[in-house]
Amino acid sequence: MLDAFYRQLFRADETPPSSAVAALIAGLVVLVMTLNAGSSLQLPPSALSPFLVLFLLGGALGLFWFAAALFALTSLWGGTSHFFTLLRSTLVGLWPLIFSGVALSIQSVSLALGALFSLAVTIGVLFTLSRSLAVAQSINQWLALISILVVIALSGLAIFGLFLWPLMLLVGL
Amino acid sequence: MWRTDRVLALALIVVSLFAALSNWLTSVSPQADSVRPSQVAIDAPDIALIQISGSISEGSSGGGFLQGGGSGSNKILKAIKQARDDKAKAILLQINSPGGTASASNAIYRELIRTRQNSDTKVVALLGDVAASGGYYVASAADHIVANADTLTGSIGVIIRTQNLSPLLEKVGVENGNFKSGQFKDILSPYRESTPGEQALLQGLVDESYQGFLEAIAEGRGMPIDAIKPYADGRVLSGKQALEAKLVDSLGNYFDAIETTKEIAQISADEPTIRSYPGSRFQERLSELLSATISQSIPGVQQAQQALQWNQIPLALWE
Repeated sequence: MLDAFYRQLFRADETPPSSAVAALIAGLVVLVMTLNAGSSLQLPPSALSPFLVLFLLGGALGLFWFAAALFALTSLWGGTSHFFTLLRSTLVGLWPLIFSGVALSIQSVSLALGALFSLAVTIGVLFTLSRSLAVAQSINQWLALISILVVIALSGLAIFGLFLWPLMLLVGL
Repeated sequence: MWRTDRVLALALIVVSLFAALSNWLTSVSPQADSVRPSQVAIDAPDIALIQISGSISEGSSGGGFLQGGGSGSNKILKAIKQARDDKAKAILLQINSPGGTASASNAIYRELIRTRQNSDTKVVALLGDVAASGGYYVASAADHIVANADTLTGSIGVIIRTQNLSPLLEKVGVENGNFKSGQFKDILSPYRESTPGEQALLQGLVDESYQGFLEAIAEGRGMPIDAIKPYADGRVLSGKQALEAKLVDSLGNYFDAIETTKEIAQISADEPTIRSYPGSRFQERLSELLSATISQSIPGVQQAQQALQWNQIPLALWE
């Protein structure tokens, strides 16, 4: 397992994403994000488990729609993989997020250093995600990166629309 | 064999998890709780907040990794001593406990009385949902007791539980026996009826402990034993009834207790500095997390653990 995890992290080009490693990374990311949220909101121990369940559900839903959007877009660029292969690749590409806890720790010592580390984690996520997407869909990594940015932008617009529509209906009707 | 890549992968996982966990544990440390978070006291706090929750028993902490909530007397004693050494103007005890063992309750009581007698630190007790039996024993050492009108308190008394499973075992054909060095070595055995000699011995222990309990309340509250006795038959009282019986001094909530503490300890600051004692350690927070996770995942596990624990403690101030 550790071998597979290491290869996925540092030799991803040679290794197709395995379901076990994808599950391990997903579990770690959700756990770290939950603890980060617990830290920010100062949650007591009793409130942490419900948050973990909430993050698992939210993460699964968010990942599904994010991967679906990426799949649709990269298919237009000539992507050839199966949806579930892309889903696994997306999960694996998120691995730098496990360092978000370390970024928070550094932030408590030095705000600037912490912000720099957070930026590094974000860039790392974009890099690994685009790389695993490029490998999975057999497309150029730059094209994969543009696809990710477009999907993020479209998601933002969709959320904006979600708020704007009820407002339009409320004012217009 | 451990290869470098495996070690590196494991280290990455451990470091990331450890960082996230320690961030959270630090953020929820009780030391962060203060009326004035930006002005956490470096020297003497105005008020030292000590929480006594769950069953009171001997030990450094009330709950290990697999034990539910509870208050270990050693931890509480350490907190009281630390607050006294820090020259806190007052100790505010937040008690939410159905009771505990006679020895642990007595140990905490004595340390509070010592604080009252040998230092300038005032002691105020705030009773929560329940502060009965051993919980009230501890509270009676305070200069002032604040209770909610609906707090369940009282239950002044001592109990030793016995069981006799012999009729049941007889039905299923199980016979029990033992070899003992003295006639009382298997006292409280659940496999036979207790003998008159054992009953007299146990009743003597209960009476002695009960008398000690009464004397402690009388000393702490400055009341004659005769005034306590009518309420010391094991009955549970509401906060309002306890006020009428003079077992508590006033009714109120946390903020009322803070105001009372300010008044008694002559604290002039509008917003007194409050510091939780003892300071939380990483292991304690981790233990709390595991306890909470276990109790949420396995319903009833805490009750089962408590029942197991209490079956091993004969002399209890808890019902």
